[in-house]
Amino acid sequence: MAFYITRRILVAVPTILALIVFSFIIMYLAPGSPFAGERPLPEATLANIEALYGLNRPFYEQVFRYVWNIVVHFDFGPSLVYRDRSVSEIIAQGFPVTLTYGFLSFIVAVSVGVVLGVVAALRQNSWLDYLAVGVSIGAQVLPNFVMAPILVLTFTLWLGWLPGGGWQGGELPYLILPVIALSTSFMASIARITRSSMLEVLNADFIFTVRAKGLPKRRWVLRHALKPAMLPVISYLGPTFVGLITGSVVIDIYFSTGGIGQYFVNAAINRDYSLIMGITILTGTLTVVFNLLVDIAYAWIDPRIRY
Amino acid sequence: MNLLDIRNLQVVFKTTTKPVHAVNGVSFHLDVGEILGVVGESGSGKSQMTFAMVGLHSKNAKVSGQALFEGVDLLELNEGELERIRATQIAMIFQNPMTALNPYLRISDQMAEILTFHQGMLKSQALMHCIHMLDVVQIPDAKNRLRMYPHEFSGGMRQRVLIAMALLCQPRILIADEPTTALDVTVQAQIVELLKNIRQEFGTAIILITHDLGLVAGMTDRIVVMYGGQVMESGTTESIFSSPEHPYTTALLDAVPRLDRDSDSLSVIAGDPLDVRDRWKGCPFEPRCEYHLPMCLQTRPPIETANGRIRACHVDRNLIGK
Repeated sequence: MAFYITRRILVAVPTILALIVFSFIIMYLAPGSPFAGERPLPEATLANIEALYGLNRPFYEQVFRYVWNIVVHFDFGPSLVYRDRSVSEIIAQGFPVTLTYGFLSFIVAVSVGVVLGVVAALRQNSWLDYLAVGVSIGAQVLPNFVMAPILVLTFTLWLGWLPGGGWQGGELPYLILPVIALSTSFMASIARITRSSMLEVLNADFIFTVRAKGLPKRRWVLRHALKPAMLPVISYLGPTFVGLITGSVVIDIYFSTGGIGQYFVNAAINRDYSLIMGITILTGTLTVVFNLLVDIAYAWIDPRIRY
Repeated sequence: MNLLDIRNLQVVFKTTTKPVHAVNGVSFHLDVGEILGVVGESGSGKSQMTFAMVGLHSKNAKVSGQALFEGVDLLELNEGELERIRATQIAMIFQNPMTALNPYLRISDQMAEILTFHQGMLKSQALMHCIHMLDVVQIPDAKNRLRMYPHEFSGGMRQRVLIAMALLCQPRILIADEPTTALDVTVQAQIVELLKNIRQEFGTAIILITHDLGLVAGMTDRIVVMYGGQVMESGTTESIFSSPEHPYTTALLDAVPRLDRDSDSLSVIAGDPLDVRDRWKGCPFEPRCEYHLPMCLQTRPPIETANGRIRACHVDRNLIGK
C-alpha cells in the first residue's frame, strides 16, 4: 500500500507539470493581451511593460522560467492586472472562502445523500422511498445557476430570512444559501447512487447468510451492507469534487462571496496569465490529490483490491 | 416429542398477478440427531419450506400451519425470538459458498459476531471458540486462516467456514440447503463426510435439502420426497430406495444415471416441472405420471400412513415399480 501511494505521488508530479505546460501553451496561443485597453498603449510603453514581465522572450524560455519559479521558489509571479498584488496573495485571500463553503457543500451532499439513499432503499416502494426518489430527481435536474436565483428569490426577496450575497468572514447566514445551491444536485446524485447500490447489496447472498445467523436488521444494514454499498458512491466522489470546483465559479459570482472563482473569471476575461495559471494549477493539483484519496479509500473498503 | 414437527405448512406468495402456492400443506417430523433428506426437483418448495420455518421468507409470503420446535410453534414467534432461534438452535448453510460470505469482512469478524452478539462473549474469547470450530471442520492452520478474507479461500474451504459458523452456538438443527451443488465431486464427498462427523460429534440433527439422490442415499436416515409443494412419499432411506411406492419416486430413481446399464441416453421424467402459479385440485404430479388415473385430476390423494411410511397417491402401492 505504501508502495502504491508513493508510486501514485510520483506519477502525479509529471501530471501536474504537464498541466502547467499545457495551460501555458493555451494561454500563449489565445488572442488578446492583459494590456489591451480601450485605448491602445503607445508602442514604446507596451514594449517596456512586456519586457518587464518577460513577455518578449522566446516561448520556450518563458515556459521554462515560469515552471522554474513555481517549482523552485513556489512563486506564481505577479498578477498582470491587479498591479500591486501577487498571484499567491490573491489565492491566499480568495481560496479559503471557496474552500470553506466548498467543503461544507461536500459534507452536506455526501451525508444527506447517503442517508436519503439508505432510507429509501430500506423502505423500498413505500411513500418515503417515492418521496426521496422524487426529491432526488427534481434536485438533480436543477443546476446550481438555476438553484441560486430560486433560493435568493425565495429566502431573500420573498421571505427575507437570509442574505442574498456577501461573505462577512463566513458567518452562518451567509453560508447557507451558497452551500444549498452548490450541494443540491450532487446530494441528489449521491442519494440515487446510494439507493440503487444499497438495494443491490441487500439482495446479495451474503446478506441472507447474515440474516440466517440471527443478527438483527440494524446490524446487517450497518455492519454488512453499508460498506459495500458505499463503493459506487466513493467512485462518484471524484467527479463530485471537480463539479464542486467548477460549480464554485458560478456561486462565487452569484453570491459575491469574494471566493477564488470570481478572480478566475475576471482573470480569464482580462487575460491575466499568471493568475489563470495559478488557479488552474491549484485546482488541478487538488483534483489529483483527491482522486488519490478516492483510490486509497477504495482499497481500504474492498480487501480484494490490491495495487 | 419430536425435535421438529411440521404440520400442514403452507407458503403462498402474493404477486401482482395470481398467488403462487409454493408449499401446500407439508407435514413431516425430525428426531434428535437424525439426518433427514428432503428431495425434489427445482421449484418443489423444499427451500421455501425451510425458510418459512425460521422466518426467512420474503415479505410477500404468507405462511400458515405449524412448525413446532421442541413444542414451540416457530410461526408464532416475533422477529427477535426468531433471531435467537436462528442464531442458537436452527442454523443454516447454503448452496453457493462463493457468495454466501461477506467479501468485505474478515472471517474472524463474520464468525465472532454471532458469539459476541448472542452469547455476550468477549471478542478474544469468541475468537478462541472460532479457532476451535475451524479445527473441527478441518481447516488447516485455523489460527492464521481466521484473519483472512473470504476471497482467500477455495469454494470447499468456504463451505467449511460456513459450516463452522453455523455450528458456533451448537445448534440442535442444521439445515443444509443443497450444500454441495456448487462444489466439485471430490470436495462434495469431503463435505458429506464432514456433515456425518458433525452429527456424530455434536448430535446435531440435519435437514439435507437436495436433488441429488446419490447424496441422500449415502448419508440420510429418512427421506421426504416433495413435488409441487407437497409431500409425495416419505420413509426410511433404505425402504424408499429398495421399494419406492410413489410414481414420482420411481421416476426420480430411474433418472439417476447408472454405470451398469448399457444406454447412450439418460432417462428423464417426461414433461415440465409444475408451474406453481397454477393451483391443482388433484395430484400435482398427474400430468407427468405414467400411472395416472382419472381421479388423480379431480381429488388430492389422501395421505396414507403404513409401516412407518407415508405416501400420497391414488394408485395401488403394489402396482408401482412393477
